[in-house]
Amino acid sequence: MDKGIYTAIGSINAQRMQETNAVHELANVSTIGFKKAYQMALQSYRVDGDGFKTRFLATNEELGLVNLTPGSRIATGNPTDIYMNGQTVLGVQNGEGQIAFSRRGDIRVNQNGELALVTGELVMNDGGAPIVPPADQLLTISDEGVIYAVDPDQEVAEPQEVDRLMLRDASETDLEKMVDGLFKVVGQPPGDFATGPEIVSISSGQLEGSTANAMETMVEMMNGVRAFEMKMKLVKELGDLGDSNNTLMRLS
Amino acid sequence: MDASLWVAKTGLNAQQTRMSVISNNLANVNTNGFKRDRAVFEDLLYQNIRQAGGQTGADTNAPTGFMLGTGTRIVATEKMQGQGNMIATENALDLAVEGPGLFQILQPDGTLAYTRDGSFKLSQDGELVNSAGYLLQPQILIPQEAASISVGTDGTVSVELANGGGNQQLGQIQIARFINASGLESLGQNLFRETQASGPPIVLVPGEQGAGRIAQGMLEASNVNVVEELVNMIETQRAYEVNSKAISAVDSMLRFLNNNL
Repeated sequence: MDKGIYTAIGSINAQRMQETNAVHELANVSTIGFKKAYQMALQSYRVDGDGFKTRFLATNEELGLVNLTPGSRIATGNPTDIYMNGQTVLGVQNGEGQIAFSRRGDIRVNQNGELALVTGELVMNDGGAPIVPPADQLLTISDEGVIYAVDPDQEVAEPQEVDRLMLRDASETDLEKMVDGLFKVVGQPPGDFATGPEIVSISSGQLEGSTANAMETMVEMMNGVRAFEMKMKLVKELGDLGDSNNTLMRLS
Repeated sequence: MDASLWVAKTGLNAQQTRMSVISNNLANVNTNGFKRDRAVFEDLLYQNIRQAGGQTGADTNAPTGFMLGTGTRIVATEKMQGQGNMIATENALDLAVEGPGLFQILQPDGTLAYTRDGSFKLSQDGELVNSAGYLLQPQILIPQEAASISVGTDGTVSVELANGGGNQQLGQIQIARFINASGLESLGQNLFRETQASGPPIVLVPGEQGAGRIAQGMLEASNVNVVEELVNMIETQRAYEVNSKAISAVDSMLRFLNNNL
């Protein structure tokens, strides 16, 4: 049996996963703070066996790394919507009570009076605890991530410092996505990490659009479709070759 | 059959839902006290193909994991509680709240609902009711001999009686605030209901503790911004198109497979 057919199918399977990833990005063109994963590479992997060493299987490598390229700015005018500048990420609490990071910046007060993202994750302060701003006060967030509360009853507004958001610079830290889409440091359990050399900063009143680029991803998909057809053609040719091998010994 | 088909389907579904949200906002561009909704997108759970740190050899392990996404969904519609434009109507019973508070309305089933729509009317008994005839809470009874009604910024309702009967104070309108007003549930008829997410109402005197003052003779218009909704609509339409394009690309691959093998 010709083993070439397995090499071709292996490559098709690996590429189908890349296609799924591309479609996932297209599906998330409207998700606030969505980050693309760094494009993975197809890596060749030598298969040893009898005969010449001609078989190299394509396997996928490294899909999880988060690409923190900034997304578009969407002005919302809401003072607790934040856009994280540069490679700043925001610390939140995941479903298991651990600290994870996100680029979503739609911060709201939840029913317990704590700050949380619209998707429900609690927003952490610099020390890793939930933030409980005083009720009934207007909240503003400064560029360095300090939350201020203003009592609307005051004639002259005197902002009171409430807490500081857990903002970390990830310019020298590699982040990867977890199952729930939040980020953690590569190869480590979810948790806080030391901030990088860049100064963390945010802009309030804005949200970050998805970095999924429809045009780029469409081109990737088209490329994928054609590569798929080519490889399928190869499978067919190899199949035909097997057919002619079978007829070779036929007497009539 | 093919994971990417279903992933693209989640995108189409979510964009379709977002379109409904936008259409509802646009349909309510002239609804008094209407608060626009925003569809909140979230990426779905990731599929762990290879665990980060997994062993690739006796002494080596994978530096990163291999996570495959499975699409998107709309996790919530968020009520944007921004103030709508104030429209002067000169009608004494048209009230608007300048601030985050809501009027309390007693529904026929005995539960309280909350509204930003302050176009009140008088019932046949002289009580202040909303357009559907539901009573404003606390109840205000306007006597028959009232010549003019005035509502102060702190909600105090007083009337000038006809035939020189003098001034009479009737009561005070109270308004409710919520810790998380975005979490209120819309009931239709411009009414909202308290939910677990909104927290319990904090009933306040207008003008105190940030509840907002009452403006008489004004109505709060819808806070839908038509330009913004149209831009959202264009974005939704294009996002829908790229997702359907992804489905047709996957379809062409499967067709090729079926025709050629």
